[in-house]
Amino acid sequence: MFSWWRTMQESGGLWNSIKIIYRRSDLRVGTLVGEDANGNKYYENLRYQFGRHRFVDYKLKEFDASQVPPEWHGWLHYMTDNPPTKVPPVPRKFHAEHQANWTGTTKDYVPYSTTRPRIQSWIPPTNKQ
Amino acid sequence: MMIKTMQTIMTFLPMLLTVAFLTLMERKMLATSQMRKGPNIVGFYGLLQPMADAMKLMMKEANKPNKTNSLLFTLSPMMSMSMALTTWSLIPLHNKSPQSDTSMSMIMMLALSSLSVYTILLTGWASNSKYSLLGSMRATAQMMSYEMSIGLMMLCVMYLSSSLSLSTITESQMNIWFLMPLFPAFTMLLMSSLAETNRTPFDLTESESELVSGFNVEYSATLFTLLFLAEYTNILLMSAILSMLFLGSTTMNNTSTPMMLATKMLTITYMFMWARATYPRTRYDQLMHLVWKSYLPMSLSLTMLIPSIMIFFHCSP
Amino acid sequence: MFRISSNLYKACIYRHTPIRYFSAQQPSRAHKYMYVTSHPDYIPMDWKSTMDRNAQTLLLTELITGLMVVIGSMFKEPVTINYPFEKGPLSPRFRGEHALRRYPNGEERCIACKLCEAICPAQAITIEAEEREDGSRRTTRYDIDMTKCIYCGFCQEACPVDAIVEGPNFEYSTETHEELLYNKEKLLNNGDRWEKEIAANIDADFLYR
Repeated sequence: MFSWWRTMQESGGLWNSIKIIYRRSDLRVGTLVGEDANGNKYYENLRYQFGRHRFVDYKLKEFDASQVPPEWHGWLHYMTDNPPTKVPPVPRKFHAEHQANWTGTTKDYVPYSTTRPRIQSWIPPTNKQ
Repeated sequence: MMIKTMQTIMTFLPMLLTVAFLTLMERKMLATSQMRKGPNIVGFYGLLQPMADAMKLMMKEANKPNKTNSLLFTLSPMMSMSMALTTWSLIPLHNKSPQSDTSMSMIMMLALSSLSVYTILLTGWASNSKYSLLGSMRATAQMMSYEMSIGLMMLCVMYLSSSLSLSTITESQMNIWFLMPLFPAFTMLLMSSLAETNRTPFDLTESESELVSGFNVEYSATLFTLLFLAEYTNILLMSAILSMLFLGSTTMNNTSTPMMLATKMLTITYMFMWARATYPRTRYDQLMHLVWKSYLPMSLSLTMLIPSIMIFFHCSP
Repeated sequence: MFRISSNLYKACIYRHTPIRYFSAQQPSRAHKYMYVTSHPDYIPMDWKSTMDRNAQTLLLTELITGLMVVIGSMFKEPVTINYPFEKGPLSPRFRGEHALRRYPNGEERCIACKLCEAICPAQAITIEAEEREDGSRRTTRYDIDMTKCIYCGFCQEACPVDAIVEGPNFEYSTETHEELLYNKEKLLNNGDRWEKEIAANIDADFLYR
């Protein structure tokens, strides 16, 4: 696949290609399949090798692999061929919003006990005169 | 004086850069021949990887084994890098006089390669560890044996060009490269250079994936960097010697450009890495069998054959 | 030479099939018995074989064939995936981070039968149960220690109401150990987050369970 010139043109010119290579260390083009609520864009290009034909472009500068929401996660990991634009997920009222992996930040999860305490401490009687 | 200094710097600085990028070229070339990508994250397509490697190696902890001779321990990597760099000053890079204008460059080159055998000996001895000692003994035996073969091949080239100076050899290849009459010598010199620089398939003393680098196992940080770079400088040196002696350096169809030398050197360096990607490692006795029972008789017979042909056809220079 | 050029011709017309550009495929020798050592009785000594062997030694035939194979594989497309942007293929049955599911009306599925706790080979699940205020049987403690879990999927096979499932997420690595001791429903009901995909995966797979 020596069509570097065409790939560069489709990526938006030389300067844009340089920026893309700096961020993604690879220059790939594809058709835009959809965009999710966070702004990540999902592309597909069936001319590439099988197993590398779908990719995502994250919106945030500090991108993380866990920023992919569940509806696109299945499509991106080749579990299904239907992106959420084609087959939307069945809506339920208890669906929560997707969060990335917050480890290392202040929003991380700390375990706590969910049962009521077994040992009730003794409340000392107040001295009432 | 000033001009000489500038000339020296202009020779060595690009050469050091080349050696640094040679490490990257090797990794990318091995990766491409194995259907994967090499380092491609650090700079654009991996171009800053040697800088990252150099910085990492310089910042590591430099420890020395307890009961070693610290003079020898520190001296041997420095000596190996010095030998490799000094030999570069003898190579006529632009077909005029080289940095040091000698008329016996080939003998100087052989002498300096023989001195680099000492560095391997000292490296193994100064590490105070039996494994590195054994590794360095084997590497020394291997390098010394293949140097005989290399010396005899250079002798064959000297017959055809009747001079020991590399610039004269370059000029005498204006019409035809010495590859054509001396093709078996070229093949044998190519494989002997692989063995001389401890490259695959002859790199059993420093087999990276198995032994954790053999005789330089006790080295870390800067000293290891020197040994590592000295090995790549030796590869470049051997490819320069090969392209000068056999492929006419800088000459192509009666024209003479320095870019041709660079092209030929890169081709031969590429062949070194190509061999690394292809071949498994030979056993030590197979290696010694090759030099003592195959290459040495062949090279000796070539050194007898070439002058006799030349005398027979009355074209001895 | 003809075999090599016919491979190149094939490469020109069939552009997307893998072709080795510079190799000549040897005829199969499966029907002949090959001796491991070259016993002198079995080395043929006629002129053609002798010249073949000499040419092989002097001109390094099989070495050059090996080099050409390597050059051929240089022109193939690399298979490295560019990780955070492209990901490796998975299956709907993939077992990743655990999640506790709910019924469509919002009620949690888990009825504290403790079958999953009993079958877990690593004893990673801890359950305590009590009667809830509205009288139904529910858990008060449902802890999965993700560092003990072996991700075998027995809990999702054992669950009679399909409450505990192994979701498709595997990118939940943490910087401290405590974050991996998933507490009762707090994080496991952030399977509410992954319910869209878990439901789709179960839809794809339930016929085979």
